[in-house]
Amino acid sequence: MSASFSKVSRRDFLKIASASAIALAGHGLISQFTYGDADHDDELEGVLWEKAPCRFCGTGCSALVGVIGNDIVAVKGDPESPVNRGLLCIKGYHLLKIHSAADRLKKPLIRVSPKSVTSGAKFREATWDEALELISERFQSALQEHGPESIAMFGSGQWTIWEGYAAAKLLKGGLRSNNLDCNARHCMASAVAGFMTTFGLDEPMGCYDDFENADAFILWGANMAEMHPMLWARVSQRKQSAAGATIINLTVLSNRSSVMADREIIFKPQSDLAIANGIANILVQSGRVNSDFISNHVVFQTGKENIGYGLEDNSTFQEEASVVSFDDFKSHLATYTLEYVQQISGVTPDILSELADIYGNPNTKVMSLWTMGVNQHTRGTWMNNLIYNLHLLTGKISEPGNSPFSLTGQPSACGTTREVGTFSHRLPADMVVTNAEHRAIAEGIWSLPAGTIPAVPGYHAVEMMRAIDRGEIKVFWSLCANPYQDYANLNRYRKAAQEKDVFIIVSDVYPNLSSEVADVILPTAMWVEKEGSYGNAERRTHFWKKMIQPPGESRSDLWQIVEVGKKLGLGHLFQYDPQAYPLPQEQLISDASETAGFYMEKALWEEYRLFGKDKGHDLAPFELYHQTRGLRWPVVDGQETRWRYNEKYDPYVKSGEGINFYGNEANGGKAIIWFRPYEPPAESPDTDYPFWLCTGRVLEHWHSGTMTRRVPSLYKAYPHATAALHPDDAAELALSTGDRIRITSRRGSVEVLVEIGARVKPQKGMVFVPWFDEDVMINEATLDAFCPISKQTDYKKCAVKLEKL
Amino acid sequence: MKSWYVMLPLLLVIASLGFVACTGGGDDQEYTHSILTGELGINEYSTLLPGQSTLLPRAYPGAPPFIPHSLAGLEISKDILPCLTCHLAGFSYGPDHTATRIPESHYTDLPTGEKSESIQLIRYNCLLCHVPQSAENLPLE
Repeated sequence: MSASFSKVSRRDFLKIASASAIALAGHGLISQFTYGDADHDDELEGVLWEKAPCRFCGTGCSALVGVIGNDIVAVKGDPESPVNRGLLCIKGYHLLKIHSAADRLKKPLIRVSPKSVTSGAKFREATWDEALELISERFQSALQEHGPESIAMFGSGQWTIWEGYAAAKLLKGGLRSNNLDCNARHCMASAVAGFMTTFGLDEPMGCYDDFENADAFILWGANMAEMHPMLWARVSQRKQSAAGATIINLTVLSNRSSVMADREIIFKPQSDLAIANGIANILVQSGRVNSDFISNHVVFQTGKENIGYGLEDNSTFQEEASVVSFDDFKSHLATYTLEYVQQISGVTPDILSELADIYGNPNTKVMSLWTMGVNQHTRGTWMNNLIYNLHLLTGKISEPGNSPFSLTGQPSACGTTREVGTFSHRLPADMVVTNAEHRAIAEGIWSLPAGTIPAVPGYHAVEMMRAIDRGEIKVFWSLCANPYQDYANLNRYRKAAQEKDVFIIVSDVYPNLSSEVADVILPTAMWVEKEGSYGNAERRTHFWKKMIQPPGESRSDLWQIVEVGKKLGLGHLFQYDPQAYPLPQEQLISDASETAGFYMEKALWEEYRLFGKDKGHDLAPFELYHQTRGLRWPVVDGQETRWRYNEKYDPYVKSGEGINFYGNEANGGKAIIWFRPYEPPAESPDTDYPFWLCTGRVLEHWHSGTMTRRVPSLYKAYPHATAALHPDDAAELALSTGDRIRITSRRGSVEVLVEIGARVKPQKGMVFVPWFDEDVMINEATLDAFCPISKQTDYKKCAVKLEKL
Repeated sequence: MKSWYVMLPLLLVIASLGFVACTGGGDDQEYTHSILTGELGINEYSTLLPGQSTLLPRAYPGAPPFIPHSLAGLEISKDILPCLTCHLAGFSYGPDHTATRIPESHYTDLPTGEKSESIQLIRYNCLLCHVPQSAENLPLE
């Protein structure tokens, strides 16, 4: 009753189908063949189709958005997109309803109820001028009484590039505060720290073309089948079409990616560190390394160990790096024997050897893929380093198919937060506030007096919330994010929002758990209601035009940031020459441009791209991005770059150099192989709290569900967060599907129904709960331990107990 | 103890808040999250066998059709794609029960427009685009 998909022609399919038909006919179920249902979109007439990147994950698919008047009537995959090739996932196909749910915020709201009231709190409608005036007063009094350290902004990897850029300019250049951080801190900070410590430049050297060139795909704690659906479609296509293509799913729980995998390897939480070192140990012991590559392009270093978990307020980290020899590196690795790795991870010697065979075979092109499993990890930076080690030891990097590929979570975590630098320590184009030369460059481009940008990093995301709890932050503005659902150890931070003297501004599209603790709620224009720009995981920058008018009085984040700037007397930061940037013709004008009277997005873009020009981050002129399906930076002489650091593809590598990791200019362009040991997690199960809690996402919902849970068909596709358990644990606790349990950690508890044998099947001793559901506030149980280098929270590991209710 | 007049500005603020909250009731919105229901659930879908279910309405013309039947025993693997058994040709199980036939688009390499005899392998994972629907409705309005 089933058919093999690959290498079967349509005629063969029909044979299979006919055979099945005959079989079914025997049961009297089939009366006739019918051929109905073509592609079904020929019913649409008078539709204007325009391209826009998908609003959701970091894949960066392009959609064609069908508009009639001010309504979006259909969405389809963009056949011209090299990313998704005409397809979309289920979330992408339902983009058309993310903006139009009944409870859309349409007017500024000012809190009437006391701060202690959350659910059912009262707000009154206000004019924009009144709301902006109030916000400006609060900013000014905080600045006067407590200084620039007392204000903070929390942004987003879902911001457009110019929104992130305007925010950075306002905070760091205008208000002289580095207290700008974003939800990408919870998402990609370890990836950034991994890139910077190994290569000296952020973001992947490879690109999505690697999917069609690799022989083996090793997933390190990444459930691509649900989290990066269209990239998974490309991996699957390669798997089904190329003889010998292999998929290995290294994971702590059995998931949908295992379905396509040749091997699923379940390991104990945190032991990926030991597995990666174990593979490296096999490679160096057996000599299956690329010696030429190592001697020409790599240096070895050790760093600080026992680095802690960031659990204390105001914790800091200082690296202690030493250059060592290859032999020293080998002797450090020698601890990671087959037996030792098995003891820590549960992975048997034959399986570990199989992994080493894949990385060590010079004829196998390997793509390693990872996201939150590796990044949301108290040793996230180290895990990124360790995966690069495997590719650097074998020279499998910067060429088609050989690719350590850090997948990204949000649609513009790369383009906006990383490239613009909306982190408390960063400036555009990989520069940092702690470097005087970098500050001077930024002050020059922004026409600011020397010394304007503070030299000390501001609060990173977790410390920002802790500073609110300590009473140090007086004004907190969250845009395009949902911190009061998303933060780990949420009870502490929600309590602080209600009890501390902090004025909270939330810019959002719908009411959510963050806006309910706000003092002012700003209704926000989203996606194709404004002109936008995102940058995806393969360095592809792509733009979209405004297609419909936003509802009511909602305004884009860009408009809001500029208007608050104007109220604070900083309008000059966003004043550009209307002659040089005339309003665009024959398209809807964004709110920011309309108010400014010039093409604000273009003006900001042309200024922003000065930062990366001739520094390996070159971006194209504004118009080119509206004309193409995006371009991968560095864009030099109008040409994008697919593989960086390789002379054949990257204009920054001189003829004859072959490979040059030019981000590490100081050491002669060599990548760094770090020895990073296994260290235990911040909290492990014990007799009181005997289970691991692991959290994550599902295919049908985006992050905290503010948008996708308001789309009727996505709601119906996956209405509830449930708790998944191993069947043995369920049997031991006498639990079956539908039973109500309480999950309790040392920080909080949440009630949820169990679902056994659903799409995620955790290992024994683990419970998995997704975090999209407001009715299952799982972050009240999670732990706010983070990687001390990247400051990214580990949402995958803490200890809990389960009680049947 | 402070004199009452020192407290006057505060009292005025409280009074004015009271005024807004009481008499300005028309402007005050009780603030609720419409999708916060206070209820828990599991994700349950149709238990009807293929051939017993009827089509669900599409979200819009051109939207991928939903899966109206149970997927029990129909697990996709790297070797087996059970969905093809019925959807390849579009079987009819009687006048009201027709399996939706996989359309031309699935045989087409969309970037080039080239048609093929086989379904495009990039479409292998049916469940990335086609999903079942629970009986529960969005708790909005």
